[in-house]
Amino acid sequence: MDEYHGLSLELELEQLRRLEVASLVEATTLLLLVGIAVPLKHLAGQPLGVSIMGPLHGIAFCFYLWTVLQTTAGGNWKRAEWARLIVTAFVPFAGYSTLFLIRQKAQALRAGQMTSR
Amino acid sequence: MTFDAYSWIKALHVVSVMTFVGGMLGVAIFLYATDSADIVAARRVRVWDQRVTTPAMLCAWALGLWLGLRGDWFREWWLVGKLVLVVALSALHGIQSGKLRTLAGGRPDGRKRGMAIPLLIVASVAAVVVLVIVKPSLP
Repeated sequence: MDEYHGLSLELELEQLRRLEVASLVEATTLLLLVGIAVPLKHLAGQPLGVSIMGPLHGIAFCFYLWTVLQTTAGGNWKRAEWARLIVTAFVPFAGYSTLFLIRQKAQALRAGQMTSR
Repeated sequence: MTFDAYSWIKALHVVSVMTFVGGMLGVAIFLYATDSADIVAARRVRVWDQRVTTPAMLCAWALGLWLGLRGDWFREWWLVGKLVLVVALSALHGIQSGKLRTLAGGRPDGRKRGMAIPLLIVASVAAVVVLVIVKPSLP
């Protein structure tokens, strides 16, 4: 971690914030799709929610995976962390747990910067 | 004269795709040609990548999804083939974008220099164009 300094650290933290937003949007759209739109379609015969939330979540999901690739391609990520970022995207509510991982990562980067001074 | 939404969205989709592919090829050639010390150039290329290429990619996804649903194309196998290539190209762009960030931050990026990536992009785009224009059917 001690290779991150100045601009490099700033760019990594900015990227982690972007991943946090993408993760939040992905987890929320999945929850809306599975928790509201799908039950409305199957229990109340209202398919409108699925026809809106389905494509929206599809785009959010692809963008999240794309952001994961972008983040991990330029940073120090373990395979287990990478796998956790991917797998949690498929499970309702689990996506929110990645927010903790991302914040831990940001803290570790800041701590590395403090100790290398 | 009637307003043909499908044709307009298709035209915008093609514009987005051209912008995305152009930007992606630009980054691939930059990563092939540049020195690790060229931080200023990397930052400038990154600005273009963030402000133009990535939004173009997102527009291409969203408009393509609309066209696929409206035209009921998702049951056609050529579109499935095209989607596989689009996912691969988008993933490659994500990785390139990460390497560009590494370079812009002044860190060693561990690049393997070679023309393979730019050539792979050209070959994938050529395959996408053939699939979309010819729309080959299974025998």
